[in-house]
Amino acid sequence: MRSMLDRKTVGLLFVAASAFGQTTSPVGIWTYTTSSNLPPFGLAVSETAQVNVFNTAVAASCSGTVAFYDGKGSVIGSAASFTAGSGQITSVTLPYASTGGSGSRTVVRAEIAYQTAAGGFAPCSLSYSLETYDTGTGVTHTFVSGAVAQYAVASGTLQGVVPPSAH
Amino acid sequence: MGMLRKTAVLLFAAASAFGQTPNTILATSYNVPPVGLAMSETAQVNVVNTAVASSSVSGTATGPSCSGSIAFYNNNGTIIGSATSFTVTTGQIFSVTLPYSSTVGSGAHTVIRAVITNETPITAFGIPPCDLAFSLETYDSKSGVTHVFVSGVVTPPVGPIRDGVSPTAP
Repeated sequence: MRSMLDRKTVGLLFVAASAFGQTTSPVGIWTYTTSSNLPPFGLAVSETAQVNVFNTAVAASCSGTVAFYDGKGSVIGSAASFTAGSGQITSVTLPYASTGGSGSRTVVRAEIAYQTAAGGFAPCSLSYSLETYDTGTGVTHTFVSGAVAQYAVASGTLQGVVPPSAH
Repeated sequence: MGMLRKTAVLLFAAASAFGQTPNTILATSYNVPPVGLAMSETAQVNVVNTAVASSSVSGTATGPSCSGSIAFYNNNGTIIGSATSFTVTTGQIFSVTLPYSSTVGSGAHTVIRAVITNETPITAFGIPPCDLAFSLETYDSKSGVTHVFVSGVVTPPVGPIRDGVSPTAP
């Protein structure tokens, strides 16, 4: 079952060359980057978008990034890194002024990515929500929520890679 | 199949929008739930292709691409205006808007719906990767502030086609 919101885009990365600039596992251990693409949404001049990630794992921390993209597929600014311990919520905001949009409204989207160790057994479990709200009052206008599927979970689609049995 | 009903139709195509001649086009349509639209509001459908190039997709000679159309219908089932065609590559967002004045509705509030059709060409090289997600919004036409938001995914074609097996012609 392919699901965009929980679909996993999997890439093999050596931790030594981590895109996140941090080492989470010994050098030479394979890790996976799991991504969730959130649906496109409109953002008015008066609004701010916010992605909240919540680590529901009992005893682990999740590290990853949240990035916003414009309608052409270009990243807006740069991806924001996060590390969320058990029970912690991390939020990343995008005010309209940062979108580079023109007019009263623009359409953007967000992507959440985090790393999972080889075998997918890292006890990291992320839930997320996407909100837009009035920048002045804080009143919420749009709300979407979901969970970032883990590699260990059988749902989703692994694209083109199988973890090596040895390295 | 949930709220979004899927209908798949196999069509022969005489010409290609992708520079190749497809043997078949698989058209998959999704009915987005009806939504109310006030005189002060505009409806908008956004689609995005989140597929990435992957060597695991058999015979993929072209980059990720989704093509199709978006149409709005009134409560009588009549199309409002005409369908708008789209083609989106990786990460691209395509939007179609419908202001209240275009609905020919009466009164302060009218109900409309949208249909998103994903047309997948099947050529000798296989099919281009396409993961099509959508959202339907209504928002204040002046301020742009969102009032309604619905999102979903247009499921890709069935497995055998994805695996490079040619479908049986109708």
